[in-house]
Amino acid sequence: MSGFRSCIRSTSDMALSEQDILCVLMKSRDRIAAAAWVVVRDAQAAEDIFQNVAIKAMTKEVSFDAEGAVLSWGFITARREGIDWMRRHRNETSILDAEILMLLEKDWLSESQREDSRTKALRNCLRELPQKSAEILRLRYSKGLACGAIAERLETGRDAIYKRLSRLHQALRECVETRLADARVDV
Amino acid sequence: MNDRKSTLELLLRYLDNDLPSDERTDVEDLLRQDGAAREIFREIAQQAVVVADVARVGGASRVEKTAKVSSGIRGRSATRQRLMLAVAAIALLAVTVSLLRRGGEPEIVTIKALNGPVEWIGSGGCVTRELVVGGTLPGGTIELLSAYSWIEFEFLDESTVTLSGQAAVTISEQKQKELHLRYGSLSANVQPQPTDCPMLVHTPSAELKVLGTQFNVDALFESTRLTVNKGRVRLKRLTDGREVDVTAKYEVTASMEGQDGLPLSTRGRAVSVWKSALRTDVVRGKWLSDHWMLGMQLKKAVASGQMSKADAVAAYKNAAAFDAEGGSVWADASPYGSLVLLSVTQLSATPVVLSATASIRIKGRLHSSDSVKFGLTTKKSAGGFGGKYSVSVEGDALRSDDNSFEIELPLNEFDEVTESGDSLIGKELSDWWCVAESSSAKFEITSVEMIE
Repeated sequence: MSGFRSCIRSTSDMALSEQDILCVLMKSRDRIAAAAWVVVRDAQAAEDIFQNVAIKAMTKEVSFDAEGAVLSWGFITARREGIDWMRRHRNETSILDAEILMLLEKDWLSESQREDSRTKALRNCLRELPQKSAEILRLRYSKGLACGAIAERLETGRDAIYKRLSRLHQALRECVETRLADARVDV
Repeated sequence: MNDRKSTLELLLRYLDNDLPSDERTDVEDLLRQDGAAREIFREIAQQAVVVADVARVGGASRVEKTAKVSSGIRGRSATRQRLMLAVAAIALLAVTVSLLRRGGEPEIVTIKALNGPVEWIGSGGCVTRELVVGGTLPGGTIELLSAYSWIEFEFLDESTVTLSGQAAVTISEQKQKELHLRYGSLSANVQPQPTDCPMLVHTPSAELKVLGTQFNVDALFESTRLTVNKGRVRLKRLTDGREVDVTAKYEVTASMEGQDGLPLSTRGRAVSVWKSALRTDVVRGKWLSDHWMLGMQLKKAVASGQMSKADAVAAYKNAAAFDAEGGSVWADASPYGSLVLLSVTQLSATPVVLSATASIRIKGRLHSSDSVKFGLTTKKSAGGFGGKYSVSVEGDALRSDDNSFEIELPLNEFDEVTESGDSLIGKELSDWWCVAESSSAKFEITSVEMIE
């Protein structure tokens, strides 16, 4: 894990090596996959898109001289791959407005490099969820069911599922923040 | 906070295409103008991909796997053959990821319940302890790492298996479902299987063929005990190939030593008192007889010149003549604390039922100041895993001048580990355990009994 703290070891003007590029991409994996998810709203497809981005970075005739350049290219490529995927599989009209997508990318790019600890905290928080809550999240994001379909399956109202899901997202956020704050105190 | 929650709900509806067009436009305006709304939107997306990733492999850490990939690449990054290196990196990345996803091996079970440290080892050496309820797993080995661990998983046909306590099982489903129970206990509720493809359960000493039933299996070092609660299971003893059909309410024990028949026995009449035979019941912990302890003390006395060898031998023989059974079980150190685990059902077919008026009386010696947790694993009287219950006792409450302790714990003081509110009264005692959080904690158990 410590290898992720500093992907770029060379300070020269030379282009980044393959391992540096891969390291940068992996470090931002969840952000890039999330950027793809915003377009396709399918977690499995978002994962495929991230892999395609990584493979393209290693095989295409592209070179990068800084971590920021890799990330910027990664987000743009993920967005384009996502739009292509939507054209092939879904209704193109449901794609988010390009301006919003670019604003989101800009936000993601400007975030501090704290994703390793956030992701780890989030995973731990997910482990602590009650069974029923974990099941709702799994149905929504792993199985890709819409809230209406989840409501039918759990024999409850659609509004109740939206409320439950929004509470779960909020609880996960609070859990992550608490864990990160505790970790800072421990340090 | 309420604004945030209502924004969250609005965005969830937007993502679900569950808003009228005018409200969709409002949301899009909000996302264009409000950085806080975009932050919530990004957070939903990131949580979504992590939830899916965790569910995909029961939580195997992509980051750790990829760290290995990256370091492997660094180690081989010679100046020549850069292209091959890139291809190798991609291949490794692809393999790494595909092993953990649907594109790799098919996922065959879903985790339905989980407690305590549990490890999953997949093919290619993929190891994770980040399993979560709802996660799916391909074939591999599930190992429970603590006495208070258990896991319930479900195959696609809704056949369920519960593994409890210190146990390890390898699962696969190619032509048929197969479980390799290396050690420990499992209970299974199996949906009807095709007659030409029964579920197979392998233990070190037996093979079971299951067409659809509810049963419990305890795989010990040299024997396998099968209890059938519903339906029928065929057991084959591996040492001689002898087979027996076990029907509901019967049980059989197949040992590697035994070469006689495989007599079926009905479950004995339930009792409500029990006393552990320690030496034969111990599953985790080290049995040390009083003779062994005395021998060590005498050896030290001889070595330090406090006693002659002849006197020491005489003292040893004298003690041996008086008490052939005394001894204690010392806690085993493990990454999850020091542990003693005693099986209640290892040698006895008699069900030990937990009654409301019963208590557990424990005697032992505590050689450190650690608090300990005393626990019970239960079975339902109709078969199947019944849950784990425990009570914590502070070290100070157990310490005495000579380190010995005796404590009586009424059953109504035991709490269910999962806090589901399910009472232990009326269930059957399967095993007893005692664990201290610190792996350096030292304690020994000299007696455990259930009294009324």
